[in-house]
Amino acid sequence: MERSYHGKILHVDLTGGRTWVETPPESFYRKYMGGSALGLYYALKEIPVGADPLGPDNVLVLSLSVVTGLPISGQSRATATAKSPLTGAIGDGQAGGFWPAEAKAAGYDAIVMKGRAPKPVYLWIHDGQAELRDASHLWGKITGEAEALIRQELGDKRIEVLQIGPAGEQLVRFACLINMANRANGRTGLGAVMGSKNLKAVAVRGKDRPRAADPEALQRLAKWGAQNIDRTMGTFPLYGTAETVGLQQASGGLPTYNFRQGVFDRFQDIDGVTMYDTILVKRDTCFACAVRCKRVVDIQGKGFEVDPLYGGPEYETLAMFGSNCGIADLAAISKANELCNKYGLDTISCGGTIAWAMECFEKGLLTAEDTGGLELRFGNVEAMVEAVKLIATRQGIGDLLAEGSVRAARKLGRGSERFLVAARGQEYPAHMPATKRTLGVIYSVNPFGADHMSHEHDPEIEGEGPAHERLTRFGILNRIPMHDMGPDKIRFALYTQYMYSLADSLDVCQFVWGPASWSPFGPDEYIEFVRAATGWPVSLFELIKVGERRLNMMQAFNAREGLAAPDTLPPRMFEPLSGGPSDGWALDPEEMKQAFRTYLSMAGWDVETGAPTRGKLEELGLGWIAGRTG
Amino acid sequence: MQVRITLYGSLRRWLPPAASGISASVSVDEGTTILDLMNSLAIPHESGLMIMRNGSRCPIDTPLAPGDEIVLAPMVGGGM
Repeated sequence: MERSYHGKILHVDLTGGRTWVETPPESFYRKYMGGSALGLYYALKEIPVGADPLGPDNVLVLSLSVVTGLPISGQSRATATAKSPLTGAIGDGQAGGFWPAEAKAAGYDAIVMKGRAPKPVYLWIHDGQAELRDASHLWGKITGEAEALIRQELGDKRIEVLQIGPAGEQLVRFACLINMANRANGRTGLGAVMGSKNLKAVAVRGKDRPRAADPEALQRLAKWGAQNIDRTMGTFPLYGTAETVGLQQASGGLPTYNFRQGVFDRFQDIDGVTMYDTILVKRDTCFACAVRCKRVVDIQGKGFEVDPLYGGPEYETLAMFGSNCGIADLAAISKANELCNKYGLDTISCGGTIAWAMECFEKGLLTAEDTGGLELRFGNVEAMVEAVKLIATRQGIGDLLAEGSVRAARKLGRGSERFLVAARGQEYPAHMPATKRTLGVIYSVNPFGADHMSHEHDPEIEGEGPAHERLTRFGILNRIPMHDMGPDKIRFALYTQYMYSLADSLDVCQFVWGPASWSPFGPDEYIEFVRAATGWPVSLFELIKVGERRLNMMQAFNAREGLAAPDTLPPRMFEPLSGGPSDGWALDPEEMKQAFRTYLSMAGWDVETGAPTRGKLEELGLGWIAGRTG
Repeated sequence: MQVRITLYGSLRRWLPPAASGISASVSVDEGTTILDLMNSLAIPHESGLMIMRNGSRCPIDTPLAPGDEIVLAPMVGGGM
């Protein structure tokens, strides 16, 4: 390849078993860059309004970007886009690993898949060639086994496999895509979309590596970033996201007992140090990344055996299966994580759904008769792990829980909706709006549901004095108190949301590339990176507009479906937390209502319907959508 | 004067021997700042930290007062 992208999009009609290649112009790549924005372009063009997310009309896009596969930290990520079977709105998820860089080398910038194969198939892409192969013998296999079989039958151990597990085949509504048997495009249930298409896997291998327009500039930037890791990230590479357990506990923001508390008395049993000292056997990485934050655990003979092939739990998993389920057993949490990676389940929605079920069980809304005798109580280690298995296979109570907590509550009734902790149909991740207030807004307005990686959290702007240097790039000059929800705080949330949205369109890691003070690369380096990669003389303004464009494309998709209005906050968010530094904290309904209106006005979205205004879409070069959103 | 320090996350590796759980009482001189206290315990401070004094975030050069409760935690992001 002579440049950093191929200029080739692979289209796959699974119904007819046909593939073809589209070659968009350079202007297309400069406008959308790749990743989520590129995926949304095809979602908006090709998914009919009202399409069944689990029907053949849904379109699943796997997309890389104009920087994917270059030799620098934090660039090997891929986005999955489709209509979500969990939320009914736009679905979106990113994952790292070696699959994204290898997929780029295999010859395409994105894969657009529609229809439904008459029998299970997998897609094999190698050196620009694409073929659909029989996957009947792989159907029902867990991810590790399927990956090994594909490598064996294609005769190449270096093939990378992105796939669904049995949960995706069973159409669990929060099934995910897995690569390397331990990296997940986790959220919004896109594994079920792939399952509904009878598509088991996408295997890739190639030699056509991308070339930067200015290789020396890229090399300088990569070296600078690698040298910057220790200074900015501190202990993060060593302890990974698990280091966050302590920070959350210290600030009273560790979700505990289905978000009723922000502190967990046994938090140390599940934190990064305990993991490091007891079960961690390796720090893993993604293609060309010097951070090495991924966990690999190996457990034998502690009540649960955990295979290191399936990685180790991240902070989200530790909190959602741990404190939020009242569980302080690291082996059990690691087992739940392993099962999720074997079967292909989102650990956040899975843990959140189980915590909701535990509260329902303890309050008598779910009975032992409903659960088949499973004592789904907070702290019941065996019941938590068993629930994961039942969900993955849709057996017993697992069939109800596999619908996700929101649909499950609707089916169960009995007042169980009161204990939901979800926005726009998706379970909250393990960051609490009571402590970080802007999350209450972003969870409810974010087009693909509650998500913690869609904007910068309040602590980065908290306090008095000048904002840190990276935030001044957006004209955010002053610090703002933690619980302030005035217009300046909302502006901070919105601008940083554009930046995170850009990250998901460039498919870069939001830990390595952030507006956050602790990321090795910041906004200035984004400009250098895209310039070095593509040769385009981009500015921060142009890049931020890519992020804003992507966010508006998502919201426009939802507007077509009549789903653009912000979700209301769960009742739990207005109940005071108990214990620790956040004791008594809760959101104020009037303040949040005003914050929603402020956000919608600032975003250029209709304050009643949430739909992007025609003017906003046209400003972003999305007039072609404006005609379709009314 | 006496102050109490609580260390979260991997910072607990720097707790003094007399610590109880993740907290310890420490004797410091008048005019000691949080940074001085951290240096005396060899606690690294090159990368981001959440620093709280009596429940509120504060700068690292804040002077200590008798009975202060100091909380330190590594300031890193969320998780995927």
